[in-house]
Amino acid sequence: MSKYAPKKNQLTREFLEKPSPLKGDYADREWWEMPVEFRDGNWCHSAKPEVLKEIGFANPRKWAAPDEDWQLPEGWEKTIHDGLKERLKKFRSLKLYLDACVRCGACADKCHFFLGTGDPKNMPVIRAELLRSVYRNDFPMVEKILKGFSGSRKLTKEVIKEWHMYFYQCTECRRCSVFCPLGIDTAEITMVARELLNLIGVNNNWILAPVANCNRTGNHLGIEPHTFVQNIESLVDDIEDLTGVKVNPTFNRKGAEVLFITPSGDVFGDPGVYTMMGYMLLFEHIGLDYTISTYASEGGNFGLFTTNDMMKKLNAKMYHEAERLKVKWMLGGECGHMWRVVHQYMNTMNGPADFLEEPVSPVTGTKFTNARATKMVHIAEFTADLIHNGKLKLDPRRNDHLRTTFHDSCNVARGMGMFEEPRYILNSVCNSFNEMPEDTIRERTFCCGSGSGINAEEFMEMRMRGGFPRANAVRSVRKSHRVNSLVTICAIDRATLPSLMRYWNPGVTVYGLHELVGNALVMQGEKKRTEDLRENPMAGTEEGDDAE
Amino acid sequence: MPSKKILIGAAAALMLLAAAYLATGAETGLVSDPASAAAPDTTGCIYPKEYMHSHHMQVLADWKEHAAHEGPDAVMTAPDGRRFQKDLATCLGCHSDNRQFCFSCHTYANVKPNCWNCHISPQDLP
Amino acid sequence: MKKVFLPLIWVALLSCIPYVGVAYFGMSYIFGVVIPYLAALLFIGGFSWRIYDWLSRPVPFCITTTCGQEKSLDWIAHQKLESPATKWQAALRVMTEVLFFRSLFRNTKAELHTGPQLAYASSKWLWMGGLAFHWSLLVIGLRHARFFFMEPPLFIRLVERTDRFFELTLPAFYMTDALVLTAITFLVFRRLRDAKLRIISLQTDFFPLFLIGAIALVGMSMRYVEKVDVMAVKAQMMNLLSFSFAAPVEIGPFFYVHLFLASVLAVYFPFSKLMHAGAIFLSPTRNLANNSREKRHVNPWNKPIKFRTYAEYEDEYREKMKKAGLPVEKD
Repeated sequence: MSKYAPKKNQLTREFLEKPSPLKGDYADREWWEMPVEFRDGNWCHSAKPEVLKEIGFANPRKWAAPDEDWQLPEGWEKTIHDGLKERLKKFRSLKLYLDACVRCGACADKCHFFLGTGDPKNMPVIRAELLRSVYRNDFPMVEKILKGFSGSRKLTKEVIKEWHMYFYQCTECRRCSVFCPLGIDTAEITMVARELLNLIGVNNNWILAPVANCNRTGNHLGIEPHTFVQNIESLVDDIEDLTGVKVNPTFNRKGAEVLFITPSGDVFGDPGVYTMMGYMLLFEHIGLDYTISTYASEGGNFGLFTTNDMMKKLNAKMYHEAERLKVKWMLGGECGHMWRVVHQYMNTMNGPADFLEEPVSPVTGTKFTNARATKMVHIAEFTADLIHNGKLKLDPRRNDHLRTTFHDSCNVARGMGMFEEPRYILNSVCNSFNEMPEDTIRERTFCCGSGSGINAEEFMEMRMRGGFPRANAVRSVRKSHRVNSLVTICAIDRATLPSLMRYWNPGVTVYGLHELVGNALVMQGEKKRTEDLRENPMAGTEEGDDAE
Repeated sequence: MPSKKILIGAAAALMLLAAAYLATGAETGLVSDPASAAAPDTTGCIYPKEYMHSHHMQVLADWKEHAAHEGPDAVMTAPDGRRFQKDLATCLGCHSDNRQFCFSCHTYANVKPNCWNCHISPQDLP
Repeated sequence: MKKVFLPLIWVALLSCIPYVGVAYFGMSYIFGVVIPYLAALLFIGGFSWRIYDWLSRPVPFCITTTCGQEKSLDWIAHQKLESPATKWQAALRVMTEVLFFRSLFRNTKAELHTGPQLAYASSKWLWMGGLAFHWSLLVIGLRHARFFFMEPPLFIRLVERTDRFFELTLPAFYMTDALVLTAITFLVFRRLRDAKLRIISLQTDFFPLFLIGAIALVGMSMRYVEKVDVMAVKAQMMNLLSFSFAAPVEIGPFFYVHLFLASVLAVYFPFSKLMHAGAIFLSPTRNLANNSREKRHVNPWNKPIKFRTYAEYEDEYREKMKKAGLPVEKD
């Protein structure tokens, strides 16, 4: 286990000793009187100076959160004030959500970080108050005249530290906004707060390093074109070894019908690579005319966790490359925040994509009218349509060695509204799907605890706490239905949930949905399949073990 | 003997009639005995006008309660010593024109009390 | 608990001002004419300004919070209210929020049991209390129309008749009077009882509850206990509504306390969290259709941005790309 997280039984004991969601005794104390304390496991490394220089961000220097002096730039207060003013003009959501909260408390126990830490400042309402209190102090309102009446306060270095701590203990998962009677979305506030912090060089290396990489090489992991190709080709070899089928992905090919973009985690990370193998088997199965770009080789977009401009800048490559390659439409792989960007931001930021055509499935002829303008289809929509039209030859028994449950990714759930397609696919490719408790799935799904760019090793304690509600829900189906496989449609989930499962639920493995599709696909000319894509034996193929 | 039967029947009928007469007589005597009611005093209202403006509904509610429970004993003594029988009729003795004394204000203030659901409004009498 | 007592003292002080002013200094003109006009002006001006101010800020992105299945393939059931695909569906979604507090209806309470096992229990108390509070206030507000119209519209008369259905007292007892006091008591006590709510709550959260409670109590006392002459009250309100500056006739000081506190509420409203009444209609996570892939949402301040083009990328990696057998634009 990571040295940045307490032992599991230590954390368990803490939960049991203080059984109420709110930890600690706060009688008669106001939240702004509670100190901010950085200690091992609750802060991420700050961005390296060279990273900041590369992307032209403010105040490159060496510093760390526990430092007494954060070396803020000259006039940082003005920068923050002006920055906030500017963003209040640009975003109605920000202004509205700073003004309208009635502090009814409906959101309080909906946040996974609050449930995992019991820290009152992790209640979404107070997270927003961190910014609101400063906003009230500086912008004319009745509240300004009556100091103390509405918790307004001055902007100080302590406030910046507090912002840095708590706006990076928010994964922009939007669960609170589902329950808020006014629809207040803390993600909108966190996003602006992170933009403001970036203006004065208060940042997170785990976010900005991938941003710089993505800008330069096309993907977060900084994989250069030749390595990118090599890696996919090694996956092609693995597929041939396992199935006897040779799949033929092409790269940067002009005139292909479809440009396929998926998070680079699927190309390089374990267990994402198995999902990538699943995609390629699927495309081979239906004979899709597709190509993969090494330039737009990243589906994800850490700009979303940085600034609006950065999100737009990184996202611009998708349409740019689609136009250059003269494809008809785009297909996107399994990813959470990628789909928040594609679904809700891409066409607005970098559209209109008039050079593309309305997406039509070449196999079934289905028109994806819901993607008519953006011209990008989610792989789950695409596959669900194939299965519904009987175009795939599937043998769900090949996943009988797994007992599955499904984790809705926050962004796909609450920023896109795709719930049925992945479930339909999962039920078609395996026989053992069981839902987690209803308050932890679909629009109420819990974040993996490490989304929005806080998947850093040194942040492990907070990640294990933030992921606790999700892990706890998995635990309950593990007990009731012996579930051993957590299926997701998100690359960040595939990167973060394995460590969460190892910590809270040893024995549960994390899968991508299309990895299971890849297992179940009966390919033309395949050899007898005895192992799944991870080279684990399938049920009924082990020696002396007959199929049930 | 038919005459005997007729006599018995006639006696019974007489007794029944007498009982009915006595009974009704007793009832009407109780309610309508004018001697026991306080003579209506028309020199002025039971309370000052301003008080009645804002509180008449409570006075009426109070009177109704007492009249129902105490009958003729429900008599009020005004602050100036005058006595009034607690009865709607006492009010109507002066304020018989309820178009002016009830409806004009109630209409203006959009108040719809349910007094006339049971009581016959003088305005409705022929 | 400073943040509870201070607002209480504020409301008590505010109640004394008109009482003393009218009962001892004869300032009924100020409290009956000047202040109500000023308050109405500030309320209407302030409310409109706040709404205008919000509307004048753009909604750059379509950020619907989707709480149900989007409109996608034909054979997948689309949840029209949870994930509206058209403007009308979104409008309907907002109306269910406004009228029935739909999101609040989802409310759960998290509990940690041994295991440790998190459990989520349905928790509808806040929803019920909130609905009772807001709907009572609405009905009470409508009922007051009898002071502003010679003959209130039929709809309002029906509401009023339903409200006094039981005719328990004379004057008839209104159900909403009991309901609003119960709801306010609940809303105050939940802020005090729950440790989470105690931390969250600010003075500005208690103040309007106490203020509305005081307005309601004074109003009820005028109806049921410490009577005032309704004819004079109506005359005064009709005066105000016809923009007359005539001096009010004599009305008990409680009326002025009621009117003054209502004026304070009106002035406080546009500059405080009470503006959530307007904000709920404008909330972009609720009032936008989830159709951003079907129809392009336009950002008025969207500007071209310099990004790393393919040409720049190829320039840096051309040799490596060629070695890897990747097609290039320029040799």
